[in-house]
Amino acid sequence: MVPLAIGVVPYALVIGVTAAESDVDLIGAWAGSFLILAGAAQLATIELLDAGAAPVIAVLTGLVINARLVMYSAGLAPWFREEAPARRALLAAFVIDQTYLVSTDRFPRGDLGPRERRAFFLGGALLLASIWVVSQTVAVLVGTGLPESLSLEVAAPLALVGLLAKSVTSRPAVMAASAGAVVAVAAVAMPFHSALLVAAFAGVVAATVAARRSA
Amino acid sequence: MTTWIVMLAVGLGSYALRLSMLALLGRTGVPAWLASVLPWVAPAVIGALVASMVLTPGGSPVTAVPPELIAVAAGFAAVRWTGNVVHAFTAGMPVMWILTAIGM
Repeated sequence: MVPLAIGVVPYALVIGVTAAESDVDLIGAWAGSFLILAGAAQLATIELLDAGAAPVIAVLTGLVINARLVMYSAGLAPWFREEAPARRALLAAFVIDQTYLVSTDRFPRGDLGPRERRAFFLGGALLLASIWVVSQTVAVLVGTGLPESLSLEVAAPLALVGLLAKSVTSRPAVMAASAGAVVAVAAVAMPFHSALLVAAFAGVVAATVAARRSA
Repeated sequence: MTTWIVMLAVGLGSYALRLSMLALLGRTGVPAWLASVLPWVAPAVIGALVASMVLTPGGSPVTAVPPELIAVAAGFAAVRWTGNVVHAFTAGMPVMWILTAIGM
């Protein structure tokens, strides 16, 4: 978990700097670090609000990006079966890409009991969340003071393209990304900045068709 | 204020997504149609996000190849090659600096 936790630092810095350079309310954008606790959704909502999108579109886009969390929730559920409902409600707050990946890699070894699993998960989550929020705080504070020549605005798409490179590991995934990209550009003039939502839908449809073909 | 409300709404909605299957204890599991669609949501959205940031800055399509596109392509290649997401920055940022320095 420690290397993964350090790995979120550049991403957190990018979001903080993006927020600082945008016209959105800086403290509100920063609050997204702990309110949303997921980078891509926070970054997209900041970018959309900055571009003047309707708040409803920003919220919907953020939630579509976070739809994968349902998958993580399902993957973790069997490991926290013994926990009381209140505890599960607490654990749920920390379902994140990193905690899911590390936990579902570690737990199947079978040497951890329910209490140790909870400690493993929450320990990693708290470390990750604190590094995340502190890094964003630092970035928000220094953000506007950084020189223009650093071209930091490109860091946001770079952070995302890194995730993209890791996620396009199959033909349907490539189709999803390509169709999403093409439609996002083609539909840019659509009202309410809804191009992203339309593009996401088109990408998922393209991938589903590609998956059916290869099945 | 709007920003706060949007962040709070996405946060609460995301919490509901996080809690969903943990609350059901995986009893019902993810519905089959949802499970077959979820893996494609992330690449579709991220592909769309990157394209819109790089190719439609300010809300209209670019008319020439922007340096950001080449930087992002370099970042993508570096991550594919090394398997480490940090190299999106270590490859992409220098490419961006060089391209802007030569006036692209």
